[in-house]
Amino acid sequence: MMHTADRLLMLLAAGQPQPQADLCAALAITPAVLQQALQQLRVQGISLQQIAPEIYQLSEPLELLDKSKIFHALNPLAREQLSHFEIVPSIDSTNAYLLNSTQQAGFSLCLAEYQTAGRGRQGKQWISPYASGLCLSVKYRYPHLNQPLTGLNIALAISTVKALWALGATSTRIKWPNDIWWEGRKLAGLLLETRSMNRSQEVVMGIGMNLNLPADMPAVDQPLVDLSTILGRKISRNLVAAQIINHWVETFLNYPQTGLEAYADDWQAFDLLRGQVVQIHTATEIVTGTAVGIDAAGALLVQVGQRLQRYLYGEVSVRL
Amino acid sequence: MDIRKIKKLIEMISASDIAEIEIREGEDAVRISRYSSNSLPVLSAPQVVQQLAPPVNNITSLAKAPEDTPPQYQGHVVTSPMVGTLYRAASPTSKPFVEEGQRVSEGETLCIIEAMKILNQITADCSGVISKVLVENGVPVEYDQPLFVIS
Repeated sequence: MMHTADRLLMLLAAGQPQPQADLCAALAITPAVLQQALQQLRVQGISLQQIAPEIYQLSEPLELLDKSKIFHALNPLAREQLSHFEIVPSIDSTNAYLLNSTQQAGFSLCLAEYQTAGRGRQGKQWISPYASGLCLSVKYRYPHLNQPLTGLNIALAISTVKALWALGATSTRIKWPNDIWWEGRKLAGLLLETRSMNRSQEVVMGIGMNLNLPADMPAVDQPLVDLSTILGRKISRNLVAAQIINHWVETFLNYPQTGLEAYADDWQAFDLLRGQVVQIHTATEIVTGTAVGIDAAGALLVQVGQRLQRYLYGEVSVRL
Repeated sequence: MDIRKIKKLIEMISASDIAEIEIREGEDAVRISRYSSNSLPVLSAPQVVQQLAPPVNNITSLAKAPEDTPPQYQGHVVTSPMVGTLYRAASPTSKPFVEEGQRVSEGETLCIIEAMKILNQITADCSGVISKVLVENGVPVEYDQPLFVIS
């Protein structure tokens, strides 16, 4: 069910000036309801201009998510594996939505223009203004899994960076274990969630990536970058989505056979922390050392004095 | 080193976030690791680490010393399938998934265990009433550690 504001945005997305009378007629609403819908779009971070009395226009055109554009950019393997594909204008969290949806064979996809409760680990929020980024989750159900999926998040982070390199963003790196950075600024965050049911395991991988951040982006606690800044041009959101889905599907399917070992060389190439002085914040202490890579399980290895420590959790910050 | 001292150390480490600790006292050395003591093959050739070849004590084997007879629970015990940090709610501000006395059906989420930055939802493997919650929010849990009792 689409809300009035979502349908209004579709009329404005191309960036043409739209008279109020036309908008009201197309949506079958009164001017008062139109004003509410316009206000709702502003709240969602859409930059709207009133260029003349009763004429509205987006500050710049928006490319909305498009199922058929994404589908046509998928490779044959991803198309064949896809069993459920949903694009929603606005949702609490695409990860939560797929995790709570009933089981399907094959892959399920969910993309949203806007997340009202985008999640990171431990309840951290992911902020994404409307249609300015990519909120994508992919769910896969492993039927009979004999080994744990340890390190799958790292393999998927690697395949995400490969997708980005294929799109031309060749200096993107992974900050262990789940974040994608570019020149000291955060581009994307990943979150892997699982649920075991008897012997089968449902896995949902989600990504929040900045594509075209508005100039008046509200301040967040860390420096951000968007993909269009990295590439020096606007890029199709639908194409980026398809590229990531293609890489993920392959990784999901191969991981039980390959494990993390197959990604060792890639990790070396994409590891942002290698050789850096890092601080690990655990619940009880802050440890400073030099990051030296990961082990076979994906744990971060840190040289602290004479000792090599492995960390399975804790917040990592790079000391400048 | 006195076995009671080691046991005390293990308890202290269990309650903390420390992954591994090594203590030397004169000729004796003990290293306690929260995780498997098997040295895992290293993917990315790290610098040479000076190992003093101390006697390695795995926390799980010591914690199951004969004097610790595991408590008996009435009902079905849900145990942890992995080592990690347990969360009883989806986020710090939301309500716990389950409380004592609550009825759950098979497949319902009981808690989340974070291991290697993956959030794993642990589900009820049978239907019933949560008669006991054995873990607190935010604590590290061991493999096979009892978490909930369903009766």
